[in-house]
Amino acid sequence: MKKLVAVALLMAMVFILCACGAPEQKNTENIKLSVEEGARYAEWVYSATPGDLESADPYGSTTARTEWLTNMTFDKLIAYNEETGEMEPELATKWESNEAKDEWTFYLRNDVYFHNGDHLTAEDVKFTYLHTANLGDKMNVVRTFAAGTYAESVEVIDEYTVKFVLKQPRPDFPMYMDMKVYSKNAIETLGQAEGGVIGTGPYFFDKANTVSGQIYTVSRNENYWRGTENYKTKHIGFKVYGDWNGVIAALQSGDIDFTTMQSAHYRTVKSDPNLTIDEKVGCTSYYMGYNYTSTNADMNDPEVRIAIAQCINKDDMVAIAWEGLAVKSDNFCAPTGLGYSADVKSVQYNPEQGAATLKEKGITSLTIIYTSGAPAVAAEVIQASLKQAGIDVTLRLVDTTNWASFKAAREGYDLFVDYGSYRGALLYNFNRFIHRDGANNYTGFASDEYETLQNNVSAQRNWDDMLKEFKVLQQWVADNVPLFPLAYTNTLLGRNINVGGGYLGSSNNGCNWSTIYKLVK
Amino acid sequence: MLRYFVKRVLTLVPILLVVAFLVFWLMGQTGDPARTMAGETATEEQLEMMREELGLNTPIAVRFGRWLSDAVLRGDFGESLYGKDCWQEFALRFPHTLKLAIASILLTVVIAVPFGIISAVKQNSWVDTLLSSTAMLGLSMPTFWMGMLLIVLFSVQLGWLPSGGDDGSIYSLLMPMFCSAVNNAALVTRMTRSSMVDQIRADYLRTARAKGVSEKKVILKHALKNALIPIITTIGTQLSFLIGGTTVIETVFSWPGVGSYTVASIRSNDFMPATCNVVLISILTAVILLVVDMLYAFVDPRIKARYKRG
Repeated sequence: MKKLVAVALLMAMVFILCACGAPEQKNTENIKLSVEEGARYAEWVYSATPGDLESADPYGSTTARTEWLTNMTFDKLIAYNEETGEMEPELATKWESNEAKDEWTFYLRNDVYFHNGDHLTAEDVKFTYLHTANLGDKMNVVRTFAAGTYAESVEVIDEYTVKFVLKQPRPDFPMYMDMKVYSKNAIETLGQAEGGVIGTGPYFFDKANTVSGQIYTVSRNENYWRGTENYKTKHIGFKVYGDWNGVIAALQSGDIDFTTMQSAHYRTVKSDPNLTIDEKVGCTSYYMGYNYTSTNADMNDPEVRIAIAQCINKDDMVAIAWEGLAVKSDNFCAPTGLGYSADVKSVQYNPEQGAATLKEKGITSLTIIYTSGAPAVAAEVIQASLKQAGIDVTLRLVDTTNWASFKAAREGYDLFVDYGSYRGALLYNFNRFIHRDGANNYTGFASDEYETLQNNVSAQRNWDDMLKEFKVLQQWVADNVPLFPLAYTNTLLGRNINVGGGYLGSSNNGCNWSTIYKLVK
Repeated sequence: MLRYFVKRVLTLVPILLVVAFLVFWLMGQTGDPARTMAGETATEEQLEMMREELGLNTPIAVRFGRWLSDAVLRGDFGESLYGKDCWQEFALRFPHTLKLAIASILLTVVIAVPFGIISAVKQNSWVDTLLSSTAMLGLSMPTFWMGMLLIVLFSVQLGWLPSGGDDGSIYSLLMPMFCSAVNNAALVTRMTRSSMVDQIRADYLRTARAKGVSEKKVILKHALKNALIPIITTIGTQLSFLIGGTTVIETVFSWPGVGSYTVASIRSNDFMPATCNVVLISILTAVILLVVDMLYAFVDPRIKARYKRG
């Protein structure tokens, strides 16, 4: 009997040890290839996403999956370059304004065709702007983008020239015009569902190779206006996996060739000789929010907010929550954001002073809410930091499905850990998180001073003056901590050693895989 | 028999209605679909507009009534937040779930019934101990953990099998099928053994042996037939559970079935497909359990006689 139990246990252990050992057999198959040595480009390259594609329409969903896909299938009127911080020509070759900055004219390329063969004209740009601004049905709330209400009218000057007449002067209007352009004819004749997926990009949404819940595919647009020289891959398939563990296992097994990934899988991928990781400082901003209606601590008192912030050790947080794959932030504006000022410094780590102030204010306990994953670890670091200051912190995990509603209710917590993507126009992110009417102002923060400063930015009539005023606003936010920036996480790309190209953005949404390729024997 | 069948079907109607309402109501309590759909940048005004468009401001009873009438009268189970037809999505995924369920239950039966019989016949021998221990191991091993180990071994290290998905080949089916069968087989083995042990000790078998009936015939014809009812019940329950979409297995192996789709829908506050899936699965489960009840009559003449009496 004892022998049998021992044999059974031994068998189980062999099974487990086999599963945990080094991946020897696969490594021998994969060596780094080069075109010079006769390698060729694979026709198919695969990636994966933890979840199915919501929509292939650029304005049909706000998820990263939709962004990835439509970054390949659509071109923008003009495009923001994260590296230079400038807007660059794309479908429009140039743009200009009148003296008052309330009329902006865009000049389009004349050699651009949609995937269905339609010729791009100014009518398409006008249609896209108005269509996305029109709150006519349920999908249109998603399709609306920030600048949708800025124009009084949109005029087609000629086939390739379109003018936006604004309700008020906006020197930063081009910053909003990274607008993916629809084909007017496609939507009017085929309807939103069919026509809304037709763009001008280097790849088209390939329905024939797409199976809901299993894989979605883009295939190369052989008539792309930039030519196809830089787009080596004929088909890029995105396999649908159940979760990130599945995606990483697929990368290791060779079922997929590349994927964005989370810091939790960094060591696994890094240790695999067949794989390599690209990193980039990201624009996903983790921050700590205060509940301004808390009855436990008066968050409207800036001294309380500053004291809490002074107790938090961001170095520990970056090391523990993101395994060093993040940079601590001193400025709510991301380093890749428009108008970022490196001179801005937020409240610095000073636990003694923080503890003294909190003691003086009579604060002895706080409750912090968060979601699972990195926010949970960040919350634990905050708990540990505040414990050293004598504050008893209760942690409260909230499920992601209820997260937004829970925060918005502002009950049962004093602090929260959250994150958001810092992209877009100059005041867009500050206002959505900090302005009293901001869509993401869950804290209940309201400040006349903040609004005066942001009005100062908007009131400027040239871009340089706007930037100057924006710098003042950044420092005010850093000093008054309506919310406390913690870190910007790196974006990570795990890929097979024979995969190259692609563009790793500062956020998942900003990635573009059009130029990805894989070398095979 | 027919009367019993009709009676059972009629009993199902109110049960399914209650299930449908509970599911519809509970799904509506999990988060705000409007916020999910509009994204993090939507203003409160836009969210309110979205809620209006999605009909979320209408009382739950009215919404349920509309949904039910559309579903029953027109076969329209609603749309996902992103405009996908719930019935079509279910129909697309259900064959994958069914394939996995049938493969898994077949493997379960092939492994578990012989193991259970051998274990019972060789009661308290080393064979019994080995099989019982193996069954216990299979039962106690968490499915998600075993699934991940299988992926690491057979996909990542050996590269023999795909790490996930259903590419239509037997290779992609092997790991999820094995993973779910191991757990079920353990249960069915124990149930078969226990049921057979009761029968083997029965007087009628002693009589059969005394009359010179071969041991093989005693076990397979007499004992097994009488031991089948609890075994069929267990297998039927397992099958209905599998058809419900083994969410953990489908998620771990990225199997494109109903279970993983339902989980993904719930995660994204997309409660219409989740409701549709759960209600349709409830109907299927009820039907399977009804079929299992009907099967009793074929293996036990006493039950058949009871049906006849009405």
